[in-house]
Amino acid sequence: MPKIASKFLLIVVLLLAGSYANAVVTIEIDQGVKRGIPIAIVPFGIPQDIDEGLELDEVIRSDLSRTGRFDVKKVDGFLQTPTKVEDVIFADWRLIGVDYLVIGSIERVDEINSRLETRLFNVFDEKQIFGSQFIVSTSNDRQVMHRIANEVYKRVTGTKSSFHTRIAYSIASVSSENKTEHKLVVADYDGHNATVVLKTDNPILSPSWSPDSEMITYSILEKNQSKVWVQKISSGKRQVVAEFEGQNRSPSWSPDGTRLAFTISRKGNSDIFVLTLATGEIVQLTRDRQIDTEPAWSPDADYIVFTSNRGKGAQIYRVRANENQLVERMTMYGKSNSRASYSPSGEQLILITDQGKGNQVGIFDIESKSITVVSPTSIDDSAVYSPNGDMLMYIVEGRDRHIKILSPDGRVQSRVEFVEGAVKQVAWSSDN
Amino acid sequence: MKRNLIFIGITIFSLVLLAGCAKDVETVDITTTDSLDPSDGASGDEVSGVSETDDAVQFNIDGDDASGTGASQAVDPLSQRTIYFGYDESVVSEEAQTIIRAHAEVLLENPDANLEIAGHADERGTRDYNLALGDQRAAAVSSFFQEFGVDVSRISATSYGEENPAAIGSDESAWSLNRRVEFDY
Repeated sequence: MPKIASKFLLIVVLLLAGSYANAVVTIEIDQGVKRGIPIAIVPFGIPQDIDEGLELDEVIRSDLSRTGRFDVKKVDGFLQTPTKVEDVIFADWRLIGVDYLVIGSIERVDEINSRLETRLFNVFDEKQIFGSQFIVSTSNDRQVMHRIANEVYKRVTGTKSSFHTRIAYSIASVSSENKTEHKLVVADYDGHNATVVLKTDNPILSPSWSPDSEMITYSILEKNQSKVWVQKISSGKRQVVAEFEGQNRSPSWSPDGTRLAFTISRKGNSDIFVLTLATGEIVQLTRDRQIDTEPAWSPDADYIVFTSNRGKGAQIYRVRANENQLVERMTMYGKSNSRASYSPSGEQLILITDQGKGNQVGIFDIESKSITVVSPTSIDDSAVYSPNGDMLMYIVEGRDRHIKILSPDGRVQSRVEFVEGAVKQVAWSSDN
Repeated sequence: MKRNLIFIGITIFSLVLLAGCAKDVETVDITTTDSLDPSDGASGDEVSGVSETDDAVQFNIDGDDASGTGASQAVDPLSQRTIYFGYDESVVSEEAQTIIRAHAEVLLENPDANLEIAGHADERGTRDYNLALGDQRAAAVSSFFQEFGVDVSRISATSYGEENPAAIGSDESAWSLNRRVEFDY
């Protein structure tokens, strides 16, 4: 990017980046009985010469809201809008029921950089919990906001959040020559900074991130033979890793990064295999004559869950990843259950369940075997946990296909912006 | 041209104010991918230029045949090259078997013709499961062609899952048209 020496560069580029003009994210919250931790993020103090529309603090509000752990107070209810520590009147915040308070201010450093100072306070004991200074430039400002939101989340809840992580999604769109184009897109978890990393004529299926988040595996549906590919995100370099006789599909990266679980379909029968990437060797894990597909690893790599219709309809089973062939049925309830993957704790599965109201996102508790429906929609697919379990993401199909983020209890819902087209499947990167 | 990663160093100074706990200056690298050109990355190994949408338009699906079982007996089985299925099922109905038998006889008289079978699913259910379901349906139709004498070497079967719907819509009338196997020779 050419560096234009201008006093207004920061402003100009920020405006061109476009993410600020519509920085307000619609987040729907079902209030119900349960509420989050009350927190206020005061609009950051911004110098006169920086456009006042730069609502960087809104990124933090959106991040915290999406998890459902916070009751992020609306700015218009604030009794004061301090940007400096000496201006904070804690009594004013206690009055509107706020437990935690974030303030911040931005100062120009030079043409490129600004300095952002933020502080988190406990309103009750009137103490600062943390303070930080970031040098912010146009290319990193959203990342900085996500980092601050991560820090606030961690200091208040004691657990990690996933605001710094990325997603990959596959999408189909119609080109100017009226041809269907398939793309793989990598973006921040909230859909910003989207980059198309692959364009092909054929559908891109089952993206799955490597544990270091540097590579993505996927299958490409070709007329003669579907193959499994691995692509490095930074360079765009990609290669076929599975083209065994039959259709090679549904790759899922092992937690240690050395293996892929995937499906080979031959003569109408899909089975689960594990490929060792270094050697190219495969081991067959299931030998049923019915459909076995959509494998996903447990966090400890002991099990692979998969969808099978060996019973009546699709249900979730698991197989030992190392000791061959011990298969157990996991889901017992619902017309069908499919595309399961583990929660980061390994205690739950997120899956697509049909409990008589269409395909919805469900959380299956492994110990109790109960399924809780968490999505408000009923044409759902491709549901995943965030790498730290603080959010869920899935695709709503139908006429208005879109990506949705849910709080783990389903109470808070928001849409993720995506590049134009019919979005198909989504994968969340790891914590790295 | 491909651009490499841009590493942006962000320096964090923990402030020592009310908290009163001093911290050293930390440096955090935030990595962002910048304008990674997709066509560039994929060039040279583009996947084959088969456009599945072209396949789908070859078949004119008569709305009357929507239910599969509802198709009129009077219709010439040779005019139909689509077999319909029940939800999450791969069972070939007797009526569909009649259609397959009629085409199998044509194929037996034309030994040079090869048969292409494509399985499809409606949009319900997950994408990968539907691909496997399309495989199952295509294999079920293939097995009837084989039973009626068509050699397996002449048959190629594939699945498009829910990727190429024959009818657009999210209701039973569209779904019933999309749960299908199309064949051509």
